[in-house]
Amino acid sequence: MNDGTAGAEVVSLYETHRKVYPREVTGRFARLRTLAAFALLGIFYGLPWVQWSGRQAVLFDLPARKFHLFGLTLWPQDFLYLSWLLILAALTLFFVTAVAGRVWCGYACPQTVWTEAFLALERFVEGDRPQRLKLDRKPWTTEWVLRKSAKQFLWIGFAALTGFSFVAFFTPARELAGSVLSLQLGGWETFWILFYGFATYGNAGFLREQVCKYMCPYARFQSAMFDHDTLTVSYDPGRGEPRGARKRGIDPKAAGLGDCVDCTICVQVCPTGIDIRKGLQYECIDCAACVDACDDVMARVGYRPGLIRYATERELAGQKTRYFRPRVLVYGGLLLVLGIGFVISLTLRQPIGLDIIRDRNALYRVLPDGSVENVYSLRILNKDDQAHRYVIEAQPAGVFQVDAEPVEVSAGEVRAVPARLRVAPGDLARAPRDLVIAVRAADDPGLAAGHGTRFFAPELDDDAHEDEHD
Amino acid sequence: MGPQAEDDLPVVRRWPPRMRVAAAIGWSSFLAACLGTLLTFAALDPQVIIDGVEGGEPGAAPWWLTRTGIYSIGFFLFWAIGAVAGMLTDYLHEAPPSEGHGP
Repeated sequence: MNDGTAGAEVVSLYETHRKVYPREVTGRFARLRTLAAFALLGIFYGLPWVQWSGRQAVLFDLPARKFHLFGLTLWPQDFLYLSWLLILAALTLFFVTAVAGRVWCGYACPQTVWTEAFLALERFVEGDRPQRLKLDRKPWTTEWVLRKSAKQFLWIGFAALTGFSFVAFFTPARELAGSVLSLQLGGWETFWILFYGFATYGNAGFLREQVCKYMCPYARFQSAMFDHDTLTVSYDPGRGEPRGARKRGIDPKAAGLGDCVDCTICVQVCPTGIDIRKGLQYECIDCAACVDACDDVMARVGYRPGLIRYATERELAGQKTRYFRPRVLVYGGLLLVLGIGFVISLTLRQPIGLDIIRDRNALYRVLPDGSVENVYSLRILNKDDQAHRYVIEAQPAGVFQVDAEPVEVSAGEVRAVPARLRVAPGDLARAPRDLVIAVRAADDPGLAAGHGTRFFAPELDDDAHEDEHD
Repeated sequence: MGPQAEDDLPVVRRWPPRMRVAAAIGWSSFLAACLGTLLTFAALDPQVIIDGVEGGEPGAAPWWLTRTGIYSIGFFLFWAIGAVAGMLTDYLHEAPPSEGHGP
């Protein structure tokens, strides 16, 4: 296990001057992690190129103030859905954390995924841990300069691609690629590609585990969601201790030893550089690299796997894990209710918005023929992808005469239109004070929005004035 | 310990306290700036600002004054404000100077 190299000194921002050189791991969790990384990076780099009925499928079109998500178009007025989605995301994180610990950190967090990608590039150019340690012991040799330059070249290229892909979620990817190739990129696009590329390079190439340790709020407060039944990567001290090296083939029990052969490989593979055998630590991102590494060693020395494994505190204490506990049920229940509500609300969402403002200057007007008129100002927002002609109507029908032309509103536009409602003298007695003004698309009667408002007339005058003072 | 010298293990890197504070302030103010930008510009269309600057002459605004530009400037402004608040919090959080040293 000892590769005979000393930890390399680095010029330092750090108190203890050794860099973490994670050793490569193979095994089932490593495969799962690689799979997750490929899937997530594939989504990030590929999604901007996916088209959906003639436009980019996922485009947060900030310059036009609308978000396209496949068939759905969201406007600033739909901000509720975005907040709702963020709450759902947070709840999912709480739920998963309570059940299975920091799987987010280990498999899905962008910080982890991009660090993995940068590590893979580093490994590709500089080799595995022993080779990297060896290389760094003799700096400024030809090989060192060549390998380091090659690594930087790959890193910078990958970071630039990441910056491009990020901006492609906000500016149509095809146009953006065209501008890059013809060197006609706009100022702000250039800035954001460089900024995001630089952030990726710094976070994944250099800061790495420091982000989790010093900057990530989730890493600090996740312990609040943990309990004795949460699944975490754990070392089984009951089985492993007392640890120690031993000759091959001896009976550990006879020698007074546990199953841990103290090879320290679990420490060498750790991307955050901790010793899992010291128990649960906030630096642990639950990546299970040590699980794979230890299982491998256990197989080689002929012991059963699982000395380090996903386990709950209760399980390690020899008890049964309780899966259905109040914390899990509360998070799960909330998630279910909010999730179902979100889907229903999104399904029922009408791509039309309506605001009604009463004319504040005149409560009502009595016309020469004795009929009474109220004036309203309507703001119609067409949140659909195509233009619509809207007909304005008042309910209950039959009492109110609506004096307003149908309004044409193009996709994504807001139009303010006045609407005059009249009640004939004969109908005044049966005209209700509360009414609903609705707009309905002429080409799609199902597409409508209505709001309650009031109609004032001389007979109902007394109360009306009180209301107006509110 | 084990058969291996401690030197061969990847010792956990620790940042000095000032750097940890700087990182914490930088990142938390970044998160706050994301939220601030989102909330502000969901309610406010920057086109209003551009129209104000142009004063009825389309194209009179400088090249960087676009919606994207205003979102960007807004974001960095929020970030700076958050960072200043963080720095002040850190500064005030430290123990005040002992008595008798004042002017």
